[in-house]
Amino acid sequence: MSFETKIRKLAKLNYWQNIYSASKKCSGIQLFENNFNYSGLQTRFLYWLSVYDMLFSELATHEDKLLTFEVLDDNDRTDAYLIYRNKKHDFLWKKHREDEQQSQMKASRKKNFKNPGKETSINIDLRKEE
Amino acid sequence: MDEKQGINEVLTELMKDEINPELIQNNKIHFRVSDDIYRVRMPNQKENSNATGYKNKTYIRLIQEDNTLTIKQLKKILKEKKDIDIDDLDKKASELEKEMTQVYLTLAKKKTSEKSSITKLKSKLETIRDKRLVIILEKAEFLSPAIENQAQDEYYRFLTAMCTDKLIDKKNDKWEQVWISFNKYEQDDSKLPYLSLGRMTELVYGA
Repeated sequence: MSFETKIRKLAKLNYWQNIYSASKKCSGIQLFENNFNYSGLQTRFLYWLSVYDMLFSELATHEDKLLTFEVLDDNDRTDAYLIYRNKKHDFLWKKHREDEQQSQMKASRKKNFKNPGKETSINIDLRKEE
Repeated sequence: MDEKQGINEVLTELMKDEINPELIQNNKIHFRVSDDIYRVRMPNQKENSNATGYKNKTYIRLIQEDNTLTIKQLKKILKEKKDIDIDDLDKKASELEKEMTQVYLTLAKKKTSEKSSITKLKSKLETIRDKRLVIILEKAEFLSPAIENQAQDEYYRFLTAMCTDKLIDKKNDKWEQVWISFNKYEQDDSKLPYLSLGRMTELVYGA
């Protein structure tokens, strides 16, 4: 079993997930014996703790039908879901920006039609010169 | 010790199937060789700076020697004399990564009930991953004689020599540095230097 697999297995455990959640709320809770000079293993572990924390919360809120306990139980399927999730978020973000741009353009067109700029008044004397 | 036997022992040791929380609870990795317990620990600032100094010294020494090559020069020679194109290997690896992404995207949409297609996709991933690994290892082997890589290897060997401790008093948790100098580390022909180096790269790289 590779170190990455071992670390992911540990990061998924309830024990570590609970400690991680608690440490986010309470600064007194320390995850490791050292709180500086983290090893590469610890950095990878922190990364997977946060990824699984996010996935478990999304699972609890039924955010996506494709995310299930079985998916989280299998590293390949979890990786697949993370790639799919990123693509989906990129797509949604792009779509959101396009929609926003379109609605801004529509709004400005409407405004121009109804109220074309600021009103200015000039007094012109149209009386015939005597 | 027979070198091949030594390497096999090291690999067996490294592949041991253990899930140990000790792996992450501090910035050290413990391991056992025969009846003795050892650990590699993260280097402190001074050790890191000494190792960087040693790496730079190695780089400067090698660059002045005859018959040494930088990565750029080695790539050029491999292409011209042996028809080995490193950039092409990189391109192949990145194509395989793209292929993997497509398989992952198909896998992501599978329901748990679709067991046979999940198994097929997973084995396809494994095949692509293996192909990519072969390319990466091939590239690493071709470029290993380059000055930059030799200097980097020396950096890790230096750190290993400085940061490997042996447990000498279990009751009082007393540890002692295994090699008092880098010279002593280089002179040690047991499997311990290989094992420690493997553990050190795992500790620092995290994989």
